[in-house]
Amino acid sequence: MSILRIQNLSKDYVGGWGRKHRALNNLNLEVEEGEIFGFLGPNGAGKTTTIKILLRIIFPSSGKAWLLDKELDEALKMHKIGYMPENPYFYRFLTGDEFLKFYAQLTGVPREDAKKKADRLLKVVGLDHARRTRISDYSKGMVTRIGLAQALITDPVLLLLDEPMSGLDPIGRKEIRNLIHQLKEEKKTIFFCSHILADIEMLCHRIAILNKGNLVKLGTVKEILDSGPTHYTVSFDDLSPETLAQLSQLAAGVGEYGGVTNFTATDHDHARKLVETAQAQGARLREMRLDRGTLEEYFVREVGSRE
Amino acid sequence: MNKVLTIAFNTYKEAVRNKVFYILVVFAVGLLMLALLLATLSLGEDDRIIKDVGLSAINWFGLLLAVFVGVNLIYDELDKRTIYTIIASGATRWQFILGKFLGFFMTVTAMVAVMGFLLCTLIAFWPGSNITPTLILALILFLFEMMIVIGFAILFSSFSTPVLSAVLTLMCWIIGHLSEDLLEWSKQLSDKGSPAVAALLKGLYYIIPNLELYNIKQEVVYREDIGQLGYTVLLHPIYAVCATAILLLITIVTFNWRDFK
Repeated sequence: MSILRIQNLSKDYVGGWGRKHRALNNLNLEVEEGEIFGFLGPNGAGKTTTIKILLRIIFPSSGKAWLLDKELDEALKMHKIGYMPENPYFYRFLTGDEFLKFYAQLTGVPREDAKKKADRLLKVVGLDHARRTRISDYSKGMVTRIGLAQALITDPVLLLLDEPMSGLDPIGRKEIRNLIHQLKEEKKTIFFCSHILADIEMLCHRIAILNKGNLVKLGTVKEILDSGPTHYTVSFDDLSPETLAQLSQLAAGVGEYGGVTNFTATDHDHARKLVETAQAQGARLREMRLDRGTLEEYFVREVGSRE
Repeated sequence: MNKVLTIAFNTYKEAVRNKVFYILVVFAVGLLMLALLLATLSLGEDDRIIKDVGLSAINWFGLLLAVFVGVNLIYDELDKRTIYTIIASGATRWQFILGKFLGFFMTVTAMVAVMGFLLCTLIAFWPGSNITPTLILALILFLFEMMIVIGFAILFSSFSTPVLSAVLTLMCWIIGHLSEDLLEWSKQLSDKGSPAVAALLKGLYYIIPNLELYNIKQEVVYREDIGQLGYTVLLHPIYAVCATAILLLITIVTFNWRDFK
Protein backbone atom coordinates (compact mmCIF):
# COMPACT_ATOMS: atom_id res chain seq x y z
CA MET A 1 0.00 0.00 0.00
CA SER A 2 1.43 3.37 -0.94
CA ILE A 3 1.67 5.76 1.99
CA LEU A 4 3.00 8.84 0.20
CA ARG A 5 1.96 9.89 -3.29
CA ILE A 6 3.67 12.70 -5.14
CA GLN A 7 2.15 13.83 -8.42
CA ASN A 8 3.69 16.25 -10.94
CA LEU A 9 5.36 18.26 -8.20
CA SER A 10 7.29 21.29 -9.45
CA LYS A 11 8.87 24.26 -7.76
CA ASP A 12 10.11 27.45 -9.36
CA TYR A 13 12.10 30.00 -7.41
CA VAL A 14 12.01 33.57 -8.61
CA GLY A 15 15.40 35.24 -8.53
CA GLY A 16 16.59 38.75 -9.32
CA TRP A 17 14.83 40.57 -12.20
CA GLY A 18 11.98 38.06 -11.97
CA ARG A 19 14.13 35.29 -13.44
CA LYS A 20 12.69 31.84 -12.68
CA HIS A 21 14.79 28.89 -11.62
CA ARG A 22 13.16 25.46 -11.63
CA ALA A 23 14.36 23.57 -8.54
CA LEU A 24 12.01 20.61 -9.00
CA ASN A 25 10.48 19.43 -12.23
CA ASN A 26 7.34 17.26 -12.43
CA LEU A 27 8.29 14.79 -9.73
CA ASN A 28 6.15 11.66 -9.57
CA LEU A 29 6.70 8.91 -7.04
CA GLU A 30 5.07 6.71 -4.45
CA VAL A 31 6.49 5.44 -1.19
CA GLU A 32 5.23 2.10 0.13
CA GLU A 33 4.24 1.47 3.72
CA GLY A 34 7.04 0.15 5.94
CA GLU A 35 9.88 0.69 3.49
CA ILE A 36 13.05 2.74 3.81
CA PHE A 37 12.96 4.85 0.70
CA GLY A 38 16.24 6.43 -0.35
CA PHE A 39 16.04 9.85 -1.96
CA LEU A 40 19.40 10.76 -3.38
CA GLY A 41 21.06 13.24 -5.60
CA PRO A 42 23.95 15.70 -5.67
CA ASN A 43 23.75 19.04 -3.89
CA GLY A 44 21.07 21.22 -5.47
CA ALA A 45 19.26 18.24 -7.01
CA GLY A 46 15.93 19.19 -5.38
CA LYS A 47 15.89 16.76 -2.43
CA THR A 48 15.46 19.35 0.31
CA THR A 49 13.02 21.31 -1.86
CA THR A 50 10.83 18.18 -2.06
CA ILE A 51 10.98 17.69 1.70
CA LYS A 52 10.15 21.34 2.33
CA ILE A 53 7.11 21.07 0.07
CA LEU A 54 5.96 17.93 1.89
CA LEU A 55 6.20 19.84 5.18
CA ARG A 56 4.48 22.99 3.77
CA ILE A 57 7.58 25.03 4.59
CA ILE A 58 7.45 26.12 0.96
CA PHE A 59 4.57 25.87 -1.51
CA PRO A 60 4.75 24.03 -4.84
CA SER A 61 4.42 25.92 -8.12
CA SER A 62 2.35 23.00 -9.41
CA GLY A 63 1.48 19.42 -8.49
CA LYS A 64 0.27 17.81 -5.32
CA ALA A 65 1.16 15.23 -2.71
CA TRP A 66 -0.93 13.06 -0.40
CA LEU A 67 -0.10 11.14 2.73
CA LEU A 68 -2.43 8.20 3.37
CA ASP A 69 -4.74 9.79 0.78
CA LYS A 70 -4.97 12.94 2.87
CA GLU A 71 -3.93 16.43 1.83
CA LEU A 72 -0.59 17.45 3.35
CA ASP A 73 -2.07 20.22 5.54
CA GLU A 74 -4.44 17.72 7.09
CA ALA A 75 -1.71 15.08 7.50
CA LEU A 76 0.51 17.61 9.28
CA LYS A 77 -2.29 18.66 11.60
CA MET A 78 -2.90 15.00 12.41
CA HIS A 79 0.82 14.65 13.23
CA LYS A 80 1.34 11.87 10.71
CA ILE A 81 4.75 13.15 9.64
CA GLY A 82 7.95 13.22 11.71
CA TYR A 83 10.81 15.32 10.42
CA MET A 84 14.46 15.63 11.17
CA PRO A 85 16.24 18.48 9.36
CA GLU A 86 19.73 18.48 7.90
CA ASN A 87 22.35 19.81 10.36
CA PRO A 88 19.69 20.27 13.00
CA TYR A 89 19.92 23.34 15.19
CA PHE A 90 17.47 23.08 18.01
CA TYR A 91 16.62 25.33 20.93
CA ARG A 92 19.98 25.27 22.65
CA PHE A 93 18.70 26.71 25.92
CA LEU A 94 16.48 23.67 26.55
CA THR A 95 17.61 20.43 28.15
CA GLY A 96 17.01 17.20 26.21
CA ASP A 97 14.10 16.40 28.47
CA GLU A 98 12.48 19.86 28.12
CA PHE A 99 13.06 19.82 24.37
CA LEU A 100 11.11 16.60 23.83
CA LYS A 101 8.33 17.66 26.19
CA PHE A 102 8.02 20.93 24.25
CA TYR A 103 7.50 19.09 20.96
CA ALA A 104 5.14 16.60 22.59
CA GLN A 105 2.97 19.41 23.97
CA LEU A 106 3.13 21.20 20.63
CA THR A 107 1.52 18.18 19.04
CA GLY A 108 -1.25 18.13 21.63
CA VAL A 109 0.06 15.38 23.91
CA PRO A 110 -1.15 16.02 27.50
CA ARG A 111 1.56 17.06 29.99
CA GLU A 112 1.75 13.69 31.85
CA ASP A 113 1.89 11.70 28.63
CA ALA A 114 4.49 14.11 27.25
CA LYS A 115 6.79 13.27 30.14
CA LYS A 116 6.31 9.53 29.61
CA LYS A 117 6.94 9.84 25.87
CA ALA A 118 10.05 11.95 26.43
CA ASP A 119 11.39 9.41 28.96
CA ARG A 120 10.81 6.50 26.59
CA LEU A 121 12.37 8.23 23.56
CA LEU A 122 15.40 9.41 25.50
CA LYS A 123 16.06 5.76 26.30
CA VAL A 124 15.42 4.65 22.70
CA VAL A 125 17.99 7.11 21.31
CA GLY A 126 20.44 6.46 24.15
CA LEU A 127 20.32 9.93 25.71
CA ASP A 128 18.83 9.02 29.07
CA HIS A 129 22.07 10.08 30.78
CA ALA A 130 21.92 13.54 29.14
CA ARG A 131 18.27 14.34 29.84
CA ARG A 132 19.15 17.29 32.10
CA THR A 133 21.99 18.58 29.91
CA ARG A 134 21.29 21.61 27.75
CA ILE A 135 21.35 20.96 24.00
CA SER A 136 24.06 23.63 23.69
CA ASP A 137 26.37 21.16 25.48
CA TYR A 138 25.46 18.19 23.25
CA SER A 139 27.90 16.73 20.71
CA LYS A 140 26.86 16.62 17.04
CA GLY A 141 25.92 12.95 17.34
CA MET A 142 23.80 13.66 20.40
CA VAL A 143 22.01 16.53 18.59
CA THR A 144 21.23 14.15 15.72
CA ARG A 145 19.87 11.56 18.15
CA ILE A 146 17.68 14.09 19.99
CA GLY A 147 16.51 15.27 16.55
CA LEU A 148 15.46 11.74 15.72
CA ALA A 149 13.64 11.47 19.05
CA GLN A 150 11.85 14.74 18.28
CA ALA A 151 10.74 13.38 14.91
CA LEU A 152 9.34 10.29 16.64
CA ILE A 153 7.47 12.07 19.41
CA THR A 154 4.07 11.84 17.70
CA ASP A 155 4.58 8.25 16.63
CA PRO A 156 4.30 9.33 12.95
CA VAL A 157 3.53 7.02 10.05
CA LEU A 158 6.11 8.69 7.84
CA LEU A 159 9.54 9.82 8.95
CA LEU A 160 11.35 12.35 6.77
CA LEU A 161 15.09 12.28 7.48
CA ASP A 162 17.09 14.94 5.66
CA GLU A 163 20.79 13.99 5.60
CA PRO A 164 20.58 12.42 9.07
CA MET A 165 24.21 11.32 9.09
CA SER A 166 25.74 14.49 7.77
CA GLY A 167 28.88 15.43 9.70
CA LEU A 168 28.80 12.40 12.02
CA ASP A 169 31.87 10.29 12.80
CA PRO A 170 31.83 6.54 11.92
CA ILE A 171 30.56 5.55 15.38
CA GLY A 172 27.81 8.17 15.28
CA ARG A 173 26.78 6.99 11.80
CA LYS A 174 26.62 3.40 12.91
CA GLU A 175 24.44 4.37 15.88
CA ILE A 176 22.01 6.26 13.66
CA ARG A 177 21.98 3.36 11.16
CA ASN A 178 21.11 0.95 13.97
CA LEU A 179 18.32 3.27 15.10
CA ILE A 180 16.92 3.44 11.58
CA HIS A 181 17.01 -0.38 11.34
CA GLN A 182 15.20 -0.54 14.66
CA LEU A 183 12.52 1.84 13.33
CA LYS A 184 12.07 -0.31 10.23
CA GLU A 185 11.42 -3.30 12.48
CA GLU A 186 8.72 -1.20 14.13
CA LYS A 187 7.13 -0.88 10.65
CA LYS A 188 7.86 2.83 10.26
CA THR A 189 8.03 4.21 6.74
CA ILE A 190 11.22 6.20 6.30
CA PHE A 191 11.96 8.73 3.58
CA PHE A 192 15.72 8.88 3.74
CA CYS A 193 17.26 11.81 1.97
CA SER A 194 21.03 11.73 1.51
CA HIS A 195 23.94 12.07 -0.84
CA ILE A 196 26.03 9.59 1.16
CA LEU A 197 25.61 6.61 -1.13
CA ALA A 198 27.09 3.96 1.16
CA ASP A 199 24.40 4.75 3.75
CA ILE A 200 21.63 4.56 1.16
CA GLU A 201 22.97 1.23 -0.14
CA MET A 202 23.11 -0.22 3.36
CA LEU A 203 19.71 0.98 4.51
CA CYS A 204 17.29 1.40 1.64
CA HIS A 205 15.18 -1.01 -0.33
CA ARG A 206 14.01 1.36 -3.05
CA ILE A 207 15.61 4.56 -4.20
CA ALA A 208 14.92 7.57 -6.37
CA ILE A 209 17.80 9.49 -7.92
CA LEU A 210 17.29 13.16 -8.53
CA ASN A 211 19.48 15.45 -10.60
CA LYS A 212 18.89 19.14 -11.36
CA GLY A 213 15.30 18.81 -10.23
CA ASN A 214 14.53 15.81 -12.46
CA LEU A 215 13.90 12.22 -11.43
CA VAL A 216 16.54 10.20 -13.28
CA LYS A 217 16.02 6.74 -11.77
CA LEU A 218 13.48 4.98 -9.57
CA GLY A 219 13.68 1.34 -8.48
CA THR A 220 15.04 -1.13 -5.94
CA VAL A 221 18.74 -0.97 -5.10
CA LYS A 222 19.14 -4.48 -6.59
CA GLU A 223 17.42 -3.55 -9.87
CA ILE A 224 19.55 -0.46 -10.21
CA LEU A 225 22.82 -2.23 -9.47
CA ASP A 226 21.93 -5.17 -11.73
CA SER A 227 21.20 -2.76 -14.57
CA GLY A 228 24.86 -1.70 -14.56
CA PRO A 229 27.86 -3.69 -15.85
CA THR A 230 28.84 -6.76 -13.77
CA HIS A 231 31.97 -8.88 -13.65
CA TYR A 232 33.43 -11.82 -11.73
CA THR A 233 36.46 -11.71 -9.46
CA VAL A 234 38.43 -14.96 -8.98
CA SER A 235 41.08 -15.07 -6.22
CA PHE A 236 43.89 -17.59 -5.65
CA ASP A 237 46.51 -18.12 -2.91
CA ASP A 238 50.22 -18.71 -3.64
CA LEU A 239 50.34 -19.00 -7.42
CA SER A 240 53.51 -20.21 -9.14
CA PRO A 241 55.05 -17.68 -11.58
CA GLU A 242 54.08 -19.93 -14.54
CA THR A 243 50.43 -20.20 -13.49
CA LEU A 244 50.29 -16.45 -12.78
CA ALA A 245 51.61 -15.72 -16.27
CA GLN A 246 49.15 -18.12 -17.90
CA LEU A 247 46.11 -16.81 -15.98
CA SER A 248 47.12 -13.20 -16.62
CA GLN A 249 46.91 -13.86 -20.33
CA LEU A 250 43.43 -15.37 -19.98
CA ALA A 251 41.92 -12.83 -17.54
CA ALA A 252 40.46 -9.41 -18.31
CA GLY A 253 42.47 -7.91 -15.46
CA VAL A 254 44.80 -8.86 -12.64
CA GLY A 255 45.74 -7.40 -9.24
CA GLU A 256 47.40 -8.48 -6.00
CA TYR A 257 46.42 -7.54 -2.45
CA GLY A 258 48.12 -9.02 0.64
CA GLY A 259 49.47 -12.15 -1.06
CA VAL A 260 46.13 -12.89 -2.78
CA THR A 261 45.97 -12.62 -6.57
CA ASN A 262 42.64 -11.43 -8.02
CA PHE A 263 41.65 -11.99 -11.64
CA THR A 264 38.77 -10.26 -13.38
CA ALA A 265 36.51 -12.35 -15.62
CA THR A 266 33.88 -10.85 -17.90
CA ASP A 267 31.21 -13.55 -17.30
CA HIS A 268 30.55 -16.84 -15.53
CA ASP A 269 32.05 -19.08 -18.28
CA HIS A 270 35.14 -16.94 -18.40
CA ALA A 271 35.52 -17.22 -14.61
CA ARG A 272 35.06 -21.03 -14.71
CA LYS A 273 37.76 -21.34 -17.36
CA LEU A 274 40.16 -19.40 -15.14
CA VAL A 275 39.38 -21.67 -12.18
CA GLU A 276 39.81 -24.88 -14.21
CA THR A 277 43.13 -23.70 -15.65
CA ALA A 278 44.49 -22.76 -12.22
CA GLN A 279 43.31 -25.94 -10.51
CA ALA A 280 44.85 -28.11 -13.26
CA GLN A 281 48.18 -26.59 -12.22
CA GLY A 282 47.60 -27.25 -8.52
CA ALA A 283 46.62 -23.72 -7.49
CA ARG A 284 44.22 -23.25 -4.53
CA LEU A 285 40.98 -21.28 -5.20
CA ARG A 286 40.28 -18.76 -2.47
CA GLU A 287 37.12 -17.04 -3.71
CA MET A 288 34.92 -16.50 -6.77
CA ARG A 289 32.33 -13.74 -6.57
CA LEU A 290 29.99 -11.69 -8.72
CA ASP A 291 30.72 -7.95 -8.50
CA ARG A 292 27.80 -5.71 -9.44
CA GLY A 293 29.55 -2.41 -8.86
CA THR A 294 28.51 -0.04 -6.13
CA LEU A 295 25.75 2.50 -5.98
CA GLU A 296 28.45 5.13 -6.05
CA GLU A 297 29.76 3.83 -9.38
CA TYR A 298 26.21 3.79 -10.76
CA PHE A 299 25.53 7.28 -9.44
CA VAL A 300 28.72 8.76 -10.87
CA ARG A 301 27.99 7.09 -14.21
CA GLU A 302 24.34 8.24 -14.38
CA VAL A 303 24.56 11.68 -12.84
CA GLY A 304 28.05 12.44 -14.15
CA SER A 305 27.00 11.67 -17.75
CA ARG A 306 24.23 14.26 -17.50
CA GLU A 307 26.48 17.09 -16.28
CA MET B 1 -4.79 27.78 21.65
CA ASN B 2 -2.66 25.13 23.41
CA LYS B 3 -0.08 25.29 20.64
CA VAL B 4 0.06 29.09 20.89
CA LEU B 5 0.65 28.86 24.66
CA THR B 6 3.28 26.11 24.25
CA ILE B 7 5.20 28.30 21.79
CA ALA B 8 4.67 31.33 24.07
CA PHE B 9 6.09 29.60 27.17
CA ASN B 10 9.03 28.31 25.14
CA THR B 11 9.74 31.83 23.86
CA TYR B 12 9.56 33.17 27.42
CA LYS B 13 11.91 30.44 28.62
CA GLU B 14 14.32 31.21 25.77
CA ALA B 15 14.35 34.94 26.56
CA VAL B 16 14.84 34.62 30.31
CA ARG B 17 17.66 32.12 29.79
CA ASN B 18 19.33 34.57 27.42
CA LYS B 19 22.33 36.38 28.91
CA VAL B 20 21.20 39.64 27.27
CA PHE B 21 18.10 39.61 29.51
CA TYR B 22 20.19 39.47 32.68
CA ILE B 23 22.65 42.08 31.44
CA LEU B 24 19.75 44.47 30.78
CA VAL B 25 18.20 43.77 34.20
CA VAL B 26 21.57 44.40 35.93
CA PHE B 27 22.05 47.68 34.05
CA ALA B 28 18.51 48.76 34.81
CA VAL B 29 18.95 47.99 38.51
CA GLY B 30 22.20 49.99 38.38
CA LEU B 31 20.26 52.94 36.97
CA LEU B 32 17.71 52.66 39.78
CA MET B 33 20.60 52.85 42.24
CA LEU B 34 21.79 55.96 40.38
CA ALA B 35 18.33 57.46 40.94
CA LEU B 36 18.83 56.81 44.65
CA LEU B 37 22.21 58.53 44.60
CA LEU B 38 20.89 61.56 42.72
CA ALA B 39 17.98 61.79 45.14
CA THR B 40 20.43 61.85 48.06
CA LEU B 41 22.34 64.72 46.45
CA SER B 42 19.30 66.82 45.58
CA LEU B 43 17.61 69.24 47.93
CA GLY B 44 13.86 68.80 48.31
CA GLU B 45 13.49 67.22 44.85
CA ASP B 46 14.37 63.70 45.95
CA ASP B 47 10.87 62.23 45.45
CA ARG B 48 10.62 63.62 41.91
CA ILE B 49 14.15 62.49 41.01
CA ILE B 50 13.61 58.92 42.18
CA LYS B 51 10.36 58.65 40.22
CA ASP B 52 11.66 60.44 37.14
CA VAL B 53 14.97 58.56 36.84
CA GLY B 54 13.38 55.29 37.98
CA LEU B 55 10.60 55.38 35.38
CA SER B 56 13.04 56.50 32.69
CA ALA B 57 15.29 53.52 33.49
CA ILE B 58 12.35 51.13 33.15
CA ASN B 59 11.25 52.79 29.90
CA TRP B 60 14.67 52.75 28.27
CA PHE B 61 15.61 49.22 29.24
CA GLY B 62 12.15 47.92 28.39
CA LEU B 63 12.49 49.54 24.98
CA LEU B 64 15.99 48.12 24.47
CA LEU B 65 14.73 44.63 25.31
CA ALA B 66 11.65 44.97 23.11
CA VAL B 67 13.62 46.22 20.12
CA PHE B 68 16.92 44.35 20.24
CA VAL B 69 15.62 40.96 21.37
CA GLY B 70 12.25 41.37 19.63
CA VAL B 71 13.77 41.88 16.17
CA ASN B 72 15.59 38.54 16.45
CA LEU B 73 12.51 36.58 17.46
CA ILE B 74 11.32 35.48 14.02
CA TYR B 75 14.59 36.06 12.18
CA ASP B 76 16.49 33.57 14.38
CA GLU B 77 13.82 30.91 13.90
CA LEU B 78 14.09 31.31 10.12
CA ASP B 79 17.86 31.62 10.04
CA LYS B 80 18.48 28.58 12.24
CA ARG B 81 15.54 26.72 10.68
CA THR B 82 14.01 25.83 14.03
CA ILE B 83 10.71 26.91 12.49
CA TYR B 84 10.83 23.86 10.17
CA THR B 85 10.30 21.38 12.97
CA ILE B 86 7.63 23.61 14.54
CA ILE B 87 5.63 23.68 11.29
CA ALA B 88 6.27 19.94 10.79
CA SER B 89 4.81 19.38 14.27
CA GLY B 90 1.47 20.62 12.98
CA ALA B 91 1.55 24.18 14.36
CA THR B 92 0.20 26.67 11.84
CA ARG B 93 2.01 29.85 10.95
CA TRP B 94 -0.48 32.11 12.74
CA GLN B 95 -0.11 30.03 15.90
CA PHE B 96 3.65 30.44 15.62
CA ILE B 97 3.49 34.24 15.24
CA LEU B 98 0.94 34.65 18.03
CA GLY B 99 2.93 32.32 20.32
CA LYS B 100 6.17 34.21 19.72
CA PHE B 101 4.42 37.52 20.37
CA LEU B 102 2.73 36.37 23.59
CA GLY B 103 5.92 34.75 24.89
CA PHE B 104 7.96 37.85 24.30
CA PHE B 105 5.31 40.13 25.76
CA MET B 106 5.41 37.92 28.87
CA THR B 107 9.18 38.44 29.01
CA VAL B 108 8.95 42.23 28.78
CA THR B 109 6.14 42.15 31.38
CA ALA B 110 8.36 40.11 33.70
CA MET B 111 11.21 42.61 33.31
CA VAL B 112 8.95 45.62 33.90
CA ALA B 113 7.36 43.82 36.88
CA VAL B 114 10.75 43.11 38.49
CA MET B 115 12.00 46.66 37.93
CA GLY B 116 8.66 48.21 38.91
CA PHE B 117 8.73 46.20 42.14
CA LEU B 118 12.27 47.43 42.89
CA LEU B 119 11.29 51.04 42.17
CA CYS B 120 8.19 50.78 44.38
CA THR B 121 10.31 49.24 47.17
CA LEU B 122 12.79 52.15 46.93
CA ILE B 123 9.96 54.69 47.02
CA ALA B 124 8.23 52.92 49.92
CA PHE B 125 11.37 53.10 52.05
CA TRP B 126 12.37 56.62 51.02
CA PRO B 127 11.31 59.25 53.60
CA GLY B 128 8.69 61.66 52.27
CA SER B 129 8.03 59.61 49.15
CA ASN B 130 5.07 57.37 48.47
CA ILE B 131 3.69 55.06 45.83
CA THR B 132 0.89 56.83 43.97
CA PRO B 133 -1.79 55.28 41.71
CA THR B 134 -0.40 57.33 38.80
CA LEU B 135 2.96 55.54 39.24
CA ILE B 136 1.29 52.13 38.94
CA LEU B 137 -0.77 53.39 35.99
CA ALA B 138 2.41 54.67 34.31
CA LEU B 139 3.95 51.18 34.55
CA ILE B 140 0.80 49.54 33.18
CA LEU B 141 0.52 52.04 30.30
CA PHE B 142 4.19 51.49 29.50
CA LEU B 143 3.44 47.78 29.05
CA PHE B 144 0.76 48.63 26.51
CA GLU B 145 3.23 50.85 24.67
CA MET B 146 5.68 47.93 24.60
CA MET B 147 2.91 45.72 23.24
CA ILE B 148 2.74 47.95 20.14
CA VAL B 149 6.55 48.18 19.86
CA ILE B 150 6.85 44.36 19.99
CA GLY B 151 4.15 44.18 17.31
CA PHE B 152 6.34 46.37 15.07
CA ALA B 153 9.50 44.41 15.92
CA ILE B 154 7.82 41.09 15.00
CA LEU B 155 6.33 42.52 11.81
CA PHE B 156 9.70 43.82 10.60
CA SER B 157 11.67 40.76 11.72
CA SER B 158 9.35 38.51 9.70
CA PHE B 159 10.72 39.88 6.43
CA SER B 160 13.98 41.74 7.08
CA THR B 161 17.32 41.45 8.85
CA PRO B 162 17.65 42.21 12.58
CA VAL B 163 19.60 45.44 11.96
CA LEU B 164 17.05 46.82 9.50
CA SER B 165 14.19 45.64 11.73
CA ALA B 166 15.72 47.43 14.74
CA VAL B 167 16.14 50.65 12.73
CA LEU B 168 12.56 50.49 11.44
CA THR B 169 11.13 49.66 14.87
CA LEU B 170 13.02 52.52 16.52
CA MET B 171 11.83 54.86 13.76
CA CYS B 172 8.25 53.84 14.44
CA TRP B 173 8.81 54.39 18.17
CA ILE B 174 10.21 57.89 17.55
CA ILE B 175 7.44 58.79 15.11
CA GLY B 176 4.87 57.38 17.55
CA HIS B 177 6.13 59.74 20.24
CA LEU B 178 6.10 62.70 17.85
CA SER B 179 2.58 61.95 16.69
CA GLU B 180 0.98 65.23 17.84
CA ASP B 181 3.89 67.24 16.43
CA LEU B 182 3.55 65.46 13.06
CA LEU B 183 0.03 66.81 12.65
CA GLU B 184 1.17 70.31 13.61
CA TRP B 185 4.15 70.18 11.21
CA SER B 186 1.89 68.85 8.49
CA LYS B 187 -0.43 71.87 8.87
CA GLN B 188 2.50 74.29 8.85
CA LEU B 189 4.08 72.70 5.76
CA SER B 190 0.76 72.67 3.97
CA ASP B 191 0.42 76.40 4.62
CA LYS B 192 3.98 76.99 3.40
CA GLY B 193 3.30 75.26 0.10
CA SER B 194 4.85 71.79 0.62
CA PRO B 195 1.77 69.60 0.15
CA ALA B 196 3.71 66.38 -0.61
CA VAL B 197 5.74 66.43 2.61
CA ALA B 198 2.67 67.60 4.51
CA ALA B 199 0.69 64.62 3.14
CA LEU B 200 3.53 62.27 4.07
CA LEU B 201 3.61 63.54 7.65
CA LYS B 202 -0.18 63.35 7.85
CA GLY B 203 -0.04 59.78 6.52
CA LEU B 204 2.52 58.82 9.18
CA TYR B 205 0.30 60.44 11.82
CA TYR B 206 -2.56 58.16 10.81
CA ILE B 207 -0.49 54.99 10.24
CA ILE B 208 1.82 54.97 13.29
CA PRO B 209 0.00 54.65 16.64
CA ASN B 210 0.33 57.60 18.99
CA LEU B 211 2.73 56.27 21.64
CA GLU B 212 2.85 59.51 23.59
CA LEU B 213 -0.56 58.52 24.99
CA TYR B 214 1.28 55.98 27.16
CA ASN B 215 3.72 58.48 28.63
CA ILE B 216 2.34 59.97 31.87
CA LYS B 217 5.69 60.52 33.55
CA GLN B 218 5.01 64.22 34.04
CA GLU B 219 1.80 63.41 35.91
CA VAL B 220 3.65 60.90 38.11
CA VAL B 221 6.55 63.24 38.88
CA TYR B 222 4.38 66.28 39.65
CA ARG B 223 1.98 64.23 41.82
CA GLU B 224 -1.04 65.01 39.77
CA ASP B 225 -4.11 63.16 40.89
CA ILE B 226 -5.05 60.15 38.78
CA GLY B 227 -8.50 61.67 38.25
CA GLN B 228 -6.96 64.59 36.33
CA LEU B 229 -5.82 62.24 33.60
CA GLY B 230 -9.45 61.77 32.65
CA TYR B 231 -11.34 58.64 31.85
CA THR B 232 -9.96 58.58 28.30
CA VAL B 233 -6.80 57.04 29.76
CA LEU B 234 -8.80 53.84 30.17
CA LEU B 235 -9.30 53.69 26.41
CA HIS B 236 -5.58 53.71 25.71
CA PRO B 237 -5.11 49.99 26.46
CA ILE B 238 -7.95 49.18 24.05
CA TYR B 239 -6.25 51.35 21.41
CA ALA B 240 -2.97 49.45 22.03
CA VAL B 241 -4.65 46.05 21.73
CA CYS B 242 -6.33 47.08 18.44
CA ALA B 243 -3.10 48.53 16.99
CA THR B 244 -1.14 45.40 17.97
CA ALA B 245 -3.85 43.14 16.53
CA ILE B 246 -3.58 44.96 13.19
CA LEU B 247 0.23 44.66 13.21
CA LEU B 248 0.03 40.92 14.00
CA LEU B 249 -2.60 40.42 11.34
CA ILE B 250 -0.36 42.02 8.71
CA THR B 251 2.54 39.82 9.92
CA ILE B 252 0.43 36.66 9.75
CA VAL B 253 -0.95 37.43 6.28
CA THR B 254 2.52 38.06 4.82
CA PHE B 255 4.02 35.12 6.74
CA ASN B 256 1.28 32.71 5.70
CA TRP B 257 2.18 32.68 2.02
CA ARG B 258 5.91 32.98 2.36
CA ASP B 259 8.39 30.32 1.26
CA PHE B 260 11.01 29.74 3.93
CA LYS B 261 14.43 29.46 2.29
